[in-house]
Amino acid sequence: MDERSIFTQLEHRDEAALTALEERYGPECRKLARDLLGSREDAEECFSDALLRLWNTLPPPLSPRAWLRKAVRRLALDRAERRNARKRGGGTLPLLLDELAECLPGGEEPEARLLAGELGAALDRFLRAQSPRDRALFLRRYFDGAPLRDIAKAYGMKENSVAAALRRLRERLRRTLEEEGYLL
Amino acid sequence: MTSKDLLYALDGVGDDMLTALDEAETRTRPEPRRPGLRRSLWTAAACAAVAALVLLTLPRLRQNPEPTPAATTETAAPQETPQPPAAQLPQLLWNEPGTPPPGVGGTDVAGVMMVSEPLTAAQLARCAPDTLPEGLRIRESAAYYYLKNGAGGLASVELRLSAPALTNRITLRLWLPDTPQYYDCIMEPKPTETAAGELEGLVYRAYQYEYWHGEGDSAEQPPTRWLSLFLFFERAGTAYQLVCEVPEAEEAQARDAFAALLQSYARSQNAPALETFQCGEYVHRDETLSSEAAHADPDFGAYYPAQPPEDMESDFIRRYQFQDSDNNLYANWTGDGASLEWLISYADAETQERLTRPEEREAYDISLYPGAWYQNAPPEVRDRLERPTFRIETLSLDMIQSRQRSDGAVTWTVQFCVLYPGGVQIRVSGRNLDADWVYETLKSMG
Repeated sequence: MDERSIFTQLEHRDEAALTALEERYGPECRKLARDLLGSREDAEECFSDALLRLWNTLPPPLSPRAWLRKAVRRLALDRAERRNARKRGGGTLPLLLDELAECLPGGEEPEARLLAGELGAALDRFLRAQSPRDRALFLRRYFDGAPLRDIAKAYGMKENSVAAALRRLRERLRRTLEEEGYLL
Repeated sequence: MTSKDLLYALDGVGDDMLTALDEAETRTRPEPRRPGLRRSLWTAAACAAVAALVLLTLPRLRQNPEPTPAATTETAAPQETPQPPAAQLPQLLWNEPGTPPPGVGGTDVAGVMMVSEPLTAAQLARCAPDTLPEGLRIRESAAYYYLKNGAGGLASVELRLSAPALTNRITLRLWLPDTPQYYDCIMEPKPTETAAGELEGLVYRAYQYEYWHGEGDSAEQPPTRWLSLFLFFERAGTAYQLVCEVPEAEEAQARDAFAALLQSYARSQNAPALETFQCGEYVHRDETLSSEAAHADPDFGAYYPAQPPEDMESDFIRRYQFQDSDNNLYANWTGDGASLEWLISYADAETQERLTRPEEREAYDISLYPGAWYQNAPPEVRDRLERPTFRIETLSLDMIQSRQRSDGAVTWTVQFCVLYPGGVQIRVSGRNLDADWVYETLKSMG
C-alpha cells in the first residue's frame, strides 16, 4: 500500500491505516527512536504516541511517513530531555548534542533572537546546498540519530570516513550560520 | 542558540529530503552478503557432521540429576543451585547470529480479542516437564484464549522461568500447532534461517539474532551486544517455543538453559493436553448488525439515527461488548466524499473529565487554533479539545460548527461527544457533514 492509499484511509478514519502505518513505517520509526533513546521500551511508546497523534490529526498530513518520523523524533527528544539522557547515558542524543555544539562558537550559550522556524528554514537551505551523499549523512546522523556504525554500513563507508565527513559538514554549517547572521 | 535548538530545528527540513534520503541509501547500500552456494554447502555439511557427533556423544543423562520439583508457580527467590558445567549439557546447533530478518516484527493483533487466565496447578504440572532442570524456576504462568461471542478457544500457554545466571526470564510458550498465533513477540523465522538438530529424539530448530544497546562512540559507554534466542520443537502434539533476550555475557548460560529445558522435555512423560483447556465465561459480543437490529437494540437503539444523512448510505454497524468495560454500538455512513461516524456507548470516567460548558470555547472551538490545533492549544485544554463532551441540554448549532474545519475541498467535523440524561453518550465525527442535520438528529434523541 502506498502513501496515497494510507492518506485516503486516514482521511476516511479507516483503522486499516494504522495497520498499514505500523507495517510500513513501524520498523524505521522505532529504530529512529531507539537510536536516540537507547531503549526499546521507550522507542515503542514514542511510536505508539506518534501513531495516536497522527490518527487524531485532521486533516491528515499529505505525507504520513514524514509526519510520523518527525513526530517520533520529536517525542523521543522530549522524552530524552525529561529523563536527562545525558546522565543516564541512553542513546545517541548526548553525542549528537556534543557534536552539534561544534557549530556554535559560544558552546551552549543561549541566543535569544533566534526563532526555531527560522533556524529550521536555514537548515533546510543548508542541506539543499549539499551533495546528496553529504545531505544523507547529515540527516541520518542528526535527524535519525543513527550510530556511525549503521551509517557506515548503509553507505558502504568506513566509520572514520563518516566521522570525517560529518566533521566537515558541521564546519560548513557553522560557517553558513555565521554568514546568515545566526551566530554572532 | 544551543545544540539542542539545532537538533530540534531539524524538524523544519523538507519532507522531500527525508524521502530522497531513503532513495539515496537504497542506491548506495551495498548488497547484504548472502552465503554463496559453496558456503551453504560447507555450512550444511559442517552442521550435519556436528549433529552426528552430538547425537553420538551426548550424555544420556546429566551426572547426578537430582529431580527438581516442577510445575509449581513460585514467588520465592530463585534457589541458588549452581548449574552443572556446560560440558555436561548438550550443545545445541544455532545459526550464525545476524540482524533480525525482515518481516519478523509480529502479526497484527487488531480485531483479535484475547483473555488470559492463570493455570490451575494440574494444568501447570502437565505443561512443565516432569523434572525441571536445576536452578530453573517457574515464576509466572497463564493461558491465553481467543474470544468469539463469549466462547473461548485456547491460543497458547505461557510460562516464565528464571535461571540463576540470567538477567531476563525465559518465556516458554506452548500451543496446538494448528492454532494461529498473534503475539508480537513470536518472531519465528523461516525454517531456512534456522539451524536444525535432534536431541534425544526431539527435533528442534534454533535461531538467534543479535542487536546492540548503546552507541559505541564513547569509551565510557561502550555498546553491548545482545542476543535474542529462539528454540522451537514439537512433542506430544504440542508446539513449544523458548525465547530469551540476553546480553552477550550471558549467552553461554542461556544456551545451556535452553539445552537443559529441551533435554528435560525429551525425557519427560508429561503431556500438556492443551485441547482440554477451557476458559471461563465472559460477556463478549461482537456482531455486525442491520439497521433494523440497530434500531431494536435495547441499550442503544433509541440513539441510532432514524434517518440517515442525505445521500449517504450505511456502511457498517457493529455491536460490541466485553464484560463491563466496553459496551457500544458503532455505525458509519458514507457517500460522495462525505462520511459520518456514530459511536453510542455509556458514559464513563473519561466523560466527566471531558465535560465542557458552552462558555469554555478554548476547550472545544478548533478555529481558535490554526494549523495543527492539538499542538497549538494550551496543554491544559488539549484533551478536551481533542474530544469535548457537551451535555445535550446545552448543545447548540454553533458548538457543532466550531468543531468543523475546512481545507477548501473537505470540511472535517472533528470528534465530539454528546451526553444524554440517561447516561448514554454519542460520539460524532466525519467529513463534509451538514451541521444542521447533526444538530437536529442529536437533539431529537434520548
